[in-house]
Formats: sequence, structure tokens, C-alpha cells
Amino acid sequence: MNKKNIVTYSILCVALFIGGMAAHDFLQMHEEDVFKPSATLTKTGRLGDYWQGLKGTSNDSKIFYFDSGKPGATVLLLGGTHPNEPAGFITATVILENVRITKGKAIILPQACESGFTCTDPFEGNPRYFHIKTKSGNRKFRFGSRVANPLDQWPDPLVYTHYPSGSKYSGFESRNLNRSYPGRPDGSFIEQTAYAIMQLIKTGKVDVAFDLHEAAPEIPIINAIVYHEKGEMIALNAVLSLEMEELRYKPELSPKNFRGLSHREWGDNTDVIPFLMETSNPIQGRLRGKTDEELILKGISPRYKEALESGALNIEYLPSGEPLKRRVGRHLAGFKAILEAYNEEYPEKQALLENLPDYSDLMEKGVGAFLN
Amino acid sequence: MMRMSKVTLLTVFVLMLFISLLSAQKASADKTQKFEQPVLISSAGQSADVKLVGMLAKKRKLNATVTPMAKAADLKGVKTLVIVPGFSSKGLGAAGVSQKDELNRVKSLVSEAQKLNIPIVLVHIGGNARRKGNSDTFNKLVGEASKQMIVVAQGDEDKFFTNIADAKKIPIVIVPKIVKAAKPLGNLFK
Amino acid sequence: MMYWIYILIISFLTLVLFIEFFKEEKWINQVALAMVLITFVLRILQIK
Repeated sequence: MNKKNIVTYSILCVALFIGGMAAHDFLQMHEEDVFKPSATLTKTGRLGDYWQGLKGTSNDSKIFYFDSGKPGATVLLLGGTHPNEPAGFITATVILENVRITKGKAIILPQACESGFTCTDPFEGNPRYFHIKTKSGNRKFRFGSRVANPLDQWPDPLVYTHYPSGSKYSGFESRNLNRSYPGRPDGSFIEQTAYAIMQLIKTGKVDVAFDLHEAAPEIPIINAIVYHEKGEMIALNAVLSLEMEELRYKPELSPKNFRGLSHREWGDNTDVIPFLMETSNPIQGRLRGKTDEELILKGISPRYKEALESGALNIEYLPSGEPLKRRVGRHLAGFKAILEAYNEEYPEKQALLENLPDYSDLMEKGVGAFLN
Repeated sequence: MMRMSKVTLLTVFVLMLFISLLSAQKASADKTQKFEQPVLISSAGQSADVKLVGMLAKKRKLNATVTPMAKAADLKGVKTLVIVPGFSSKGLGAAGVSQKDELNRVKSLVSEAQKLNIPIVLVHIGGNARRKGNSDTFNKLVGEASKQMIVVAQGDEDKFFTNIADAKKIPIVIVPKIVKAAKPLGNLFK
Repeated sequence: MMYWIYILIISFLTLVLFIEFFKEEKWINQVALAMVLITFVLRILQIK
């Protein structure tokens, strides 16, 4: 073997080694997160039960059903529509691991877009996991991408045209579940996912539905409850009752021409009353600085503090940070307040979900205290 | 003896001062301007806060109509115009208008109200979330044209509204929470 | 369908790059080629 060949094969070996290491890490992200549902769990299912096209795919997402056996409203809760918004996913997990349902039914999808949990967003330097200390030990959760994995849908078009409205979005959004409703059975992977969720809402006769999100501190729609016009009184009453608990939420009416989003399409195409909630998540922001697991959990970003103090930016960021416990606490408080307002509006058809922690419980004990 | 009378005099003086201050306050409360009904409640910036103010007005049994996109023609028969400023991109999207359209609408609504001598009441309940950036264009426009302001404290932490009120001699009521705005709002009307 | 067309295209490119990798005289260019190959191969193998 001459010198040239030695160099060539050495480079190939190093490349193989690096590729192998990377492959190991990438494949690890396909390992599913573990959920430990409360004792009142009735059954589990998969999104593929609602559209066969999803069976066995990465978006054959887990579904947890809780049925009180007593007539009442059916509540649907989606976390993980965007897997890089962990408060939504963790709030759904906290609820499914604690809930005791005494009236009506609850259907929970903690990772609505499970495909997005199998990768991270390119060029963001995001951690792949975060850990929460619980009574059963340290639990590991994936921190994914805003959109589905390109392995499931590729290539992205230059311009994404929403079906059926024809609204145009950037090509990247073609993999965004929350730009793909109502979806279609013969559409793209993510459109099929949206279609399955619509089928779940229709066949499950869902009355009230929640989609939990987070956004960067500089995004205007933050610490907000976005509502379909059908749910206006419920949302406004919830905002007022949350204010009594010193929690401020912006009520935001879902724009009619902003198509493909859960708060619009669920409401327009089914009988459900949908709500979407947002919290302030520094790791999604452009000013975040050091990007690591600490930022997910503690939400402390010196750069955002600086931006806040400068007054140059209109941002939603507390000087003490935006920790996960606060973001989960806000989602939980919002969820409970909206559900209470719904129950007041429809006393003949209530859903009673008990044993859910309050905002103050989360702030005092942390998220881990409410995970099994 | 002399010393005792000085103390007595001082006590009497302080008591009198206290009583006069109390009555002055009462007098000023009595003098709080009253507005007439029916009321038109509109938005400036299309935030959903306008609907919350509508709820508060309903709670106080006011003869009020909520028209977030009210135009000059909607002022017919209206005795007081309540404007709830606060910018919302989602709200503008819901209304299907641009920020420029909204600003022009609010300007024409305000100038028509002034022309018809319909007093404007600003009610700002959105706190920090409806301050600065695009919101302040609407806050300033409505604030300067108003005859009365009711503001939830968080929105006035930097004295934005208080400064306008001081400069233009506009009465302002600061309340700690949205729900606390209901009472002063109700009290404004005959 | 588009997915598999893209996989075919990338497989072809990978083959070309692989041939170029062995033909290349300068080691620094071989390193650059190897770096590109890693990502292409991982995509073909449905790993990333």
C-alpha cells in the first residue's frame, strides 16, 4: 500500500468513525419518551387508529384516553405540536400523569408531532435532551424540532401552499403541523397527520380542545390565549379569572385568514371549540446566547435580561428568567381556567379533571414533583 | 398653661387641616365628570381587550355597543365613545385590515367624535402587553384626544398615560386589575 | 414519490463523490469530500 492509499483509507476510516458516532446519536433520538400515566387511564391508542396511512410511521403518535364513565364533555389536549416547545409537551405529560377524571372524557396527545422529536432544528445548536428530577429518579425527555423530520417528508418546496385555502408560506412550513390543518388523506406526511387529528376530533366527538405552544420572548403573541370566535366568552372569562390569580394572559382572536392553524381550522371544520396557548421560551429566541439544557429548564438568558433592561425591545421576559416550571404552571392554569369557563358556559355538558397542580404548586415544588 | 394651649391649638389646626382635606377630596370626587349614554365601545389596534371592556360595561349595565371596527357613521346617536387601545397583529388579521388602515380608521373616528362633541374615554386594560411598539401609536392618539382615562396600573408603570393626563389636564383613574376597571367605568355615566 | 427521486439523486451524487474521493490527489480535498459524503450517506441510510 503506497503513501497515497494510506492517506485515502485513513481519511475514509476517520469519516466512517465520525459518521458512525453521528449515526448513533441520531438513531438514539428515535427512542420514545416514557410516560407514566395516572391510575385513571382508560386505554391508550395511536394516531394511526384514525388514519391508516400513519400506522407504523413516526407520527403514529401515542394517545392516552381517560373516561370517567359519566356523561359530559370530551376534552382534547395536544402537547408537542412543535417539539422544540417543551412546556406544551411537559404540561400534557403532567396532566396525563396526575389527572383524575370525574365527569366526561379526556384525550391527551403529549407528542402530537412525534416525528419532530426524532431530530433537532439545523444550525440552532439545541440540546437533544433535557432531564427532570422526579421522585422516581432523573427522567429524560427529548427536545426536538419545530417541524417533522425531513426523513419523513423531503424535500421542502420553495413555497408551501396550504390545502385547501391556497395560502402561501415558506417551504420550511410544509413540515409544520400547525400550518397543515385540516390536512388530507392523500397529502404529504404532515397533511396526513393533520387529517388524522381532525378525524380524532370528529369521531371522538371532542367538545373543547387545547393546543399548547411556546414562542420566543420577542414574538408578539406570547403569554396569550388564542381563541376561535366560537370560544370568545370562554376565553375572556378565563382571562379575567386568571387575572384574579395574578396571571396575565392576552386574549387574541384567531384571524380568519391565517390558515392551517389549529385554532382556526379545528373550529371551522368541526364542532370543537379550540384554544391555543403560548408561553415565553427564551431558547427559541434569537438573543438567547448560550444554548443548553439549563436554558430549557431555568430559562435564564443574560442577553434577554439586557434587552429587557435596555427597553429597546418589547419582549416578554422576567428579569429572573422564564423557567420551565413557570411556563408549565401558566399552561396548567390557563387550561384549568378555560375548562372552568367552559363548564360554566355549558353546565349540562361538563368535563371535570381533578388532581391537577396549580401554578403556585409548580412554582413552589417544580415540575419534577408532579411527574411519576 | 401657655404650653398646653399651644398643643391644643396645634391639634385643632391638624384636625381642621385633615377635615378640610377630606372634604376637598369629596368635593373633587363629586366633581368627577359624568358622561352620557348610549356608549359606543371601539378598539384602536384591534386587540381583544375591547371585548373584555364590553364585558365590564355589561356587568355595570351600561347601554353600550361593542363595535371593534367602528367608523364615523357608527357615532350616530352615540353620547360617549369609549376607545380601548392596544395593538394586536392577530386582531388586525381577524379584522382583515392593515395597521395603516386601522390607524386611519381610528384617526377619522376620533376626529368625527370631536366634531360632534362626543367625549372620548380611554380604557387601557392590556398592561405591558399592549404598550410600547405599535401599541403606543394608538395609546397616544386616543389618550391625547380623551376626556377621561381609565388605565390598569401595569400599563402605566413608566407613567406614559399619567404624563399625557398631566400635560393635557385629563382626569385619570389607575386601577390595579382589569376587573377593578368596571366600577370606575360604571361611575363615569349618569 | 419526490422523496425517492431525491434519494436516487443523492445516491448518484454519492457514487460520483466516492469515485472523486479515490481519484483526488490532494488530501485536503479528500477531507472536504469525506465530510460531504458523511451527510449524504446518513441521508441515504435514513439516519439523518
